[in-house]
Amino acid sequence: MKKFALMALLGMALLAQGIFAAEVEFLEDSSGLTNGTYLQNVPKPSKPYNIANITRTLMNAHWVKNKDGFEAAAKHYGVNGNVFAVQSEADVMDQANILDTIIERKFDAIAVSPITEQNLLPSLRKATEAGIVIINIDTAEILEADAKANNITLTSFIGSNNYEAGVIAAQFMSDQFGSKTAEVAVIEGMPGDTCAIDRTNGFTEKAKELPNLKLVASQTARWDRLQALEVTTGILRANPDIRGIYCNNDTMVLGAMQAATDLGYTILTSDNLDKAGEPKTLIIIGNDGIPEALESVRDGALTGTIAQKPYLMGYAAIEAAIMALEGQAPEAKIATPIKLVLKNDWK
Amino acid sequence: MVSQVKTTTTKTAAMDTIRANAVILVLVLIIVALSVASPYFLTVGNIMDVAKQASINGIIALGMTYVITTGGIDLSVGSTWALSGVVGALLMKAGVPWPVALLGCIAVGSLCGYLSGLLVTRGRLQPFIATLATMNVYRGIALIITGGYTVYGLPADFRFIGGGVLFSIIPMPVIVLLLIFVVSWFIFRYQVLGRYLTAIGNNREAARLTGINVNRMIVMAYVYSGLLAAIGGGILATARISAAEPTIGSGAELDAIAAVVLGGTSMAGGNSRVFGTLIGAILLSAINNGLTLLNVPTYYKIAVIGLIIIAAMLIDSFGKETRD
Repeated sequence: MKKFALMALLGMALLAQGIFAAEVEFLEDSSGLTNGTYLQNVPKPSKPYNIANITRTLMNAHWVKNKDGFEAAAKHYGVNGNVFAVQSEADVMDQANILDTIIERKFDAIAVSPITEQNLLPSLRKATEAGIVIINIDTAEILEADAKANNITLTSFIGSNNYEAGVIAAQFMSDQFGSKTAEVAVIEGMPGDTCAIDRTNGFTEKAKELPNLKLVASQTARWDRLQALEVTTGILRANPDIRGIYCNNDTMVLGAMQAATDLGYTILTSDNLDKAGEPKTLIIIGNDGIPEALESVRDGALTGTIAQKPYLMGYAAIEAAIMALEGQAPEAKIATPIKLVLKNDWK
Repeated sequence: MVSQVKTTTTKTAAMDTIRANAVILVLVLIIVALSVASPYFLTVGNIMDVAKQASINGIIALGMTYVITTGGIDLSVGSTWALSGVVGALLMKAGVPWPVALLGCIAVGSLCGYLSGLLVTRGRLQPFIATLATMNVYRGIALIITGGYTVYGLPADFRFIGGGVLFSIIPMPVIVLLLIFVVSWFIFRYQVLGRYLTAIGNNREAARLTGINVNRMIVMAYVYSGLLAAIGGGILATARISAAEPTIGSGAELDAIAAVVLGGTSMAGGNSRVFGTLIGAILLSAINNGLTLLNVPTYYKIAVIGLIIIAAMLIDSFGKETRD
């Protein structure tokens, strides 16, 4: 039963991602690459380095894409790229154990996506002592203070610019409302989470600059779909004139979407955005591009989601590692592209 | 002498009533305050929202009340919610008719409670430690069988249980909550199980000596808690968001405990108020809803909820002192 469930879900996840990659240009693997390179001035590696990617699980389309990009780049540059995953996102200790083994096996560079901000810190300290190049991919982002306190040297962080995601959502809404002034709201992620703070600040600060957006509510739903449903219901009851909602992630946007539908709002898509700002309509935008949210956008149930490029994150990890191993300094923060995906992005 | 005893009894009964009603008093105060603060609070739609949002926590808290009566605690309810929910949803995805899948969900929840109960009785572990451990085990299993992935795309008929409305006004979860409240209240009041659980909570050794099968009763309390976590979380919550998430329900145990304690139940066991738990859950839901309507900033909201709970507990505590 367990095996069956695993296979069925994995199939669903990969199928969904496969369909979208073929249908939406931004989600295609090759989008963002020029002649097989993403970062500029990557030198030819002087020997076939061994580079490891300690990722999360391969049950999630996001991390599968990261793996694909990593392996494709390794092949392109002629280095050895090995991906190591854990069974589930609960295996914090397993992930640290895998990293310890990698250090013993004397890899030249490692890319890590720690399950928590803390679980790999002791192992990464050992890696630094062993002179291994360390790249941090996507999430969790290791905090500078933690790296410093544990004597960890991080070469680069590769991931989406979360502040920019909030800015994109606010700018998009403002463009649609045009000459009308509209009330908007934010559904925040977990209080204190860096990613949630950056996305919220991006939206909030941009909304303040834009004269036609009036931010009337900003509430947390703790990355939780049920809480997002409840919080959005309350916000819309108290502020029935809200015409735009930005959610810090897609899990919450699915709850917000349901709240809006329950209360009789029409969620606009790229087919009818000319109605933006009209009574009982809503622009709802999520963040991340998880399969269920992308399906909702395609089917016209959700306005859009700000999709990321996990494939390029994996790809850039190999490139940054090669640069560092060849004595060049890659950028400390490498922001991979993000894009608001709408219904009309489907070919 | 006889008259003295009588007076004391009447007095105690009167004070008990006051104490049981302390939480109602707090609820009334909160409702008045929120109605003044927000014109949207006392609208029919919003009142139904409050009731709907109280139902999941309310159902789980009713099960928790039984466990707390025995002097125990069940920290695993949030994980039981997640595990029973994903199992039910996976069964539906595998083509099992949804009513049958719900039986699977309920069976998983009951089994979760049963295992916790065995650890507490046969294993002689502290309830806090036993259920802290099962909390992690159940969560782990939920993550493993889904790979951390959300199960969605569930049958529309099933979703009616969570999102449907009866007589075009009463949300389905509220009906389920009321049914379960009546059952919980009836068993507690009029069935031997309720009296036995109270006796065990008051004095376990004495209860054993009077011939009560203590272990069996305690296991039943945990099974009931697991069962209600499956109904409230695994079924209702899954139906409401039309998806089962392996990460859902974390922290649900604290919300449930808060509702139980706000309702006037003693954490030491032996003194429980099933009706109080219902009111406690509604109170928490009303506070959450009200603060959202008022758009209280996130960080303040968290602190304000804590302060209101402290205030409610103090009112209750002073009521108790007056009695003593």
